[in-house]
Amino acid sequence: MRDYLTFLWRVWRVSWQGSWKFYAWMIFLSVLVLVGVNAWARQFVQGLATTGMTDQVSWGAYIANFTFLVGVAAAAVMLVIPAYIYKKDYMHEVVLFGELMAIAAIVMCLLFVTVDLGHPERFHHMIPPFGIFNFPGSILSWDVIVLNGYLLLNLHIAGYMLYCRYRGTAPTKKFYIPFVFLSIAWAVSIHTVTAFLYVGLAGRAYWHHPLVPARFLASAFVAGPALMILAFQIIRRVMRYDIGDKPIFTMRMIMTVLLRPARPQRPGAVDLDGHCAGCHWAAVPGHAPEPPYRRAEHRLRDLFCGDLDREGHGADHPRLCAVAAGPDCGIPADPE
Amino acid sequence: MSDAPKNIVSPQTIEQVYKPMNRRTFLKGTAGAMVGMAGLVAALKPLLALEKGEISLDDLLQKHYRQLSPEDLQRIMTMLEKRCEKQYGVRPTIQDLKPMDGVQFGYALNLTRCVGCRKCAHACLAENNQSRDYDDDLSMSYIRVLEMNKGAINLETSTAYYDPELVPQKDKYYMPVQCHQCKDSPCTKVCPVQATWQEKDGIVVVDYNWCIGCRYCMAACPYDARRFNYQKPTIKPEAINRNQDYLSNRIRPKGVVEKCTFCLQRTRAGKYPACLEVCPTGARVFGNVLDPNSEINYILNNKRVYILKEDVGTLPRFYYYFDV
Repeated sequence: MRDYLTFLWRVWRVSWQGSWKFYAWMIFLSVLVLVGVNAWARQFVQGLATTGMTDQVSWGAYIANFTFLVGVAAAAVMLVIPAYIYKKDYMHEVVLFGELMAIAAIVMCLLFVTVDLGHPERFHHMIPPFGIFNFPGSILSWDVIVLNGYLLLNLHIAGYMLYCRYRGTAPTKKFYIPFVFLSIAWAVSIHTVTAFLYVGLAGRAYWHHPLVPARFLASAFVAGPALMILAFQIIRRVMRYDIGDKPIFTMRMIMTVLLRPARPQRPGAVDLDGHCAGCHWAAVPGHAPEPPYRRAEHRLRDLFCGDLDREGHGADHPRLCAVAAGPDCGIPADPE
Repeated sequence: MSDAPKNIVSPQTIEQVYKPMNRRTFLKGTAGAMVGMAGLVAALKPLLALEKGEISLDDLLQKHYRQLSPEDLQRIMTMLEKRCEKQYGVRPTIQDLKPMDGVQFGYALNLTRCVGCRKCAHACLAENNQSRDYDDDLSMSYIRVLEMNKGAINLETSTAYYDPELVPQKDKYYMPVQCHQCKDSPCTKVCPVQATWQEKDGIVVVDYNWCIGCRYCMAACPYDARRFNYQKPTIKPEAINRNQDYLSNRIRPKGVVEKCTFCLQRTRAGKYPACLEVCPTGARVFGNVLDPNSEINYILNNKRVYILKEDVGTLPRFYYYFDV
C-alpha cells in the first residue's frame, strides 16, 4: 500500500517532466481549461442565461456532448475484448491507452453534467445521507451509478497495470482479470443506460424506440476505434512506444463490421432510432403501423441483415447475421 | 505487417527518471506554479460578484421539504420573506397550505368556447410571480395558448406565437396548454433528487430549495409545462403578488424549475385558480372530482371529453371538452 502511494507520488512527479513541446502543449491546454473555468464561474453567478441558449437547445446541447463522451468511454472495450477474450498479445501493448481514454472521457462526462446544472452547489442533494438518491426511480440515478462505477473500474485496472509495469513484475490475475470482464459488461451498460435516458421519456416521442441503445453502442464502437487509430498514429510518431500495425488493423476490422448497423440507412429501409427521413413517426405510439415487439424484431433483422433480400449485398458480415437472425435470414450459418 | 512489438522496460534508477532538483529547476517550478495559480484566481474572479448571503451555510444544509419539521419550515419561510424584502423591496406573506382530505382537483377546458385571448396566460403571470423581462413577457407563464388549424387536433401545425389584431381568427381554434398534473407523472419519476412530487390532492409541486436544476423533468414532460429560471427572476415590486406559498408562487431562486400548481395558494384556500377567474368566455371549469355534485364531475360524466396526448399514458387531471 505504502509502495503504491510512493508509485502515485512518482507518477505525479514524472507527469511534470518533458521536453519543451510537452510544456508548450500543456500550457496551451491549461489556457483552454482556464478559459472554460472562467466561463463557468460567470455562469455560476449569472445563471445559465449566460449561454443564451433556450430550453430546447440548452439541455440538448449538453446531453448530446455528454452522450458522445459516454460513447467514447464505452468504446474502450473494443480494445479490451480483443486483448482479453480473443487473447491477442499485440493488443495488450495498447489496451492501456483505451482504458486511460475511458477515464478521461468519463471525467469529461461528469464535468458536462456539472456545468449543465442550475445549482451545482446542491450536488450533495443526490448523495445519501445528505440528500435523496432517487434510485431506481430515476434513470438519471442509474447513469450516476454506472458512470462512476466504470470510472472506478478503469482507474483500478489502469492503475494496477501501470503499477506492475513500474515494479517490473507480472500482474497477478486475480487482481485484475475479474475487473476486466466486469468492465466489458459495464461498458455496454453505460451506453445502454444513457440511451434509456431518452427512450423512457413520455415527452420525447421522437426517441421512443427499443433499439436506440443498440444503435448508440454500434456507433460508439465505430467512433471509439476511429479515435484510437488517430491516437495510435500520433503515439507511434511522437513517442518511443512500439505499437505496430496489428492493433490498427484490428481496429479497422471492428469499424468495418460495425459501420453497417451504425450508419444511417436509406429512407424506407427501417432505420434504427427512426431518424431517417419520413419514417421516424413509425416509432411513436399512435403512429405505429405494427405492434412494438414486431417492430423490434424487424429492426433487429434489419440491423444485422440489412436489405439482403432486396439488393443482395447484405452479406458483408454473415456471421453477425447468422447469430442475430438464425436460419430465417437465408445465409449459411458458417461461411467458412 | 510488423511482428508483435516488444516494449520491454529496462529497470531505471530514480536519478535516470527524474531530473535532479537544483536551484534552477526549483525556481522554474515555483515560477510556473505561481503563474498557474494566478491564472486560476483570475479565471475564478467572476465568483466575487456573488451577492453576499446568496449561498449561505443554512441553504446548503437545508433538508428536503418533506423532512423539515414545522418549526424549521416556519423559520425558513420567515427567512425567505426577509430575503425577498431585501432583494425586491416587497415583504410577502409566505405560507404552507397543506392538501385537504377528500379532495382531488380536476380541471376541464371548453374548446368550443375558448377564443384564444390569452387572458389566462396573463393572469397566471400576475398571480404566480414569474420572472419577466418586460410587463407582458409571457415566456415564463405556465399557460401556452396554441392556435390550431381547424380540421384536426394537430400540434405540429399549431403555433403559440400567433399575434393578430383580433381573436378568434377564421378557420382557427385555440387550445391553452398548462400542467396536466398527471396521475402517472413522468416529471416526478425522472427527478434524480425527488425535488418534485405529487401531493395527495393531485397537484405536482417542486421544492425550489431542493431542485438542482438538471432540467430532466422538462425533457420528460409531454406538455411543455415546466419553466426554468435561467437567471435570477426579474419582477417589478408593484407586480409582486404578496400572497405566496412555499411550494407554489413564492419568487423562485435562479437555476430551478417551476410549474403550474393549479394556484394552490388559492385553491387550497377555497378559491378558484387565477386563470379560471379571468376567463371571459367561461371556458374553464375547476373543482373536486371526488365530489359527486361538483361541476367538474358533471362535465367529465356528460360532455365529450378529450385528453391531449392520451397515447403517452400519463393520465392527466386536465381535460378538454366540447359543447354540442
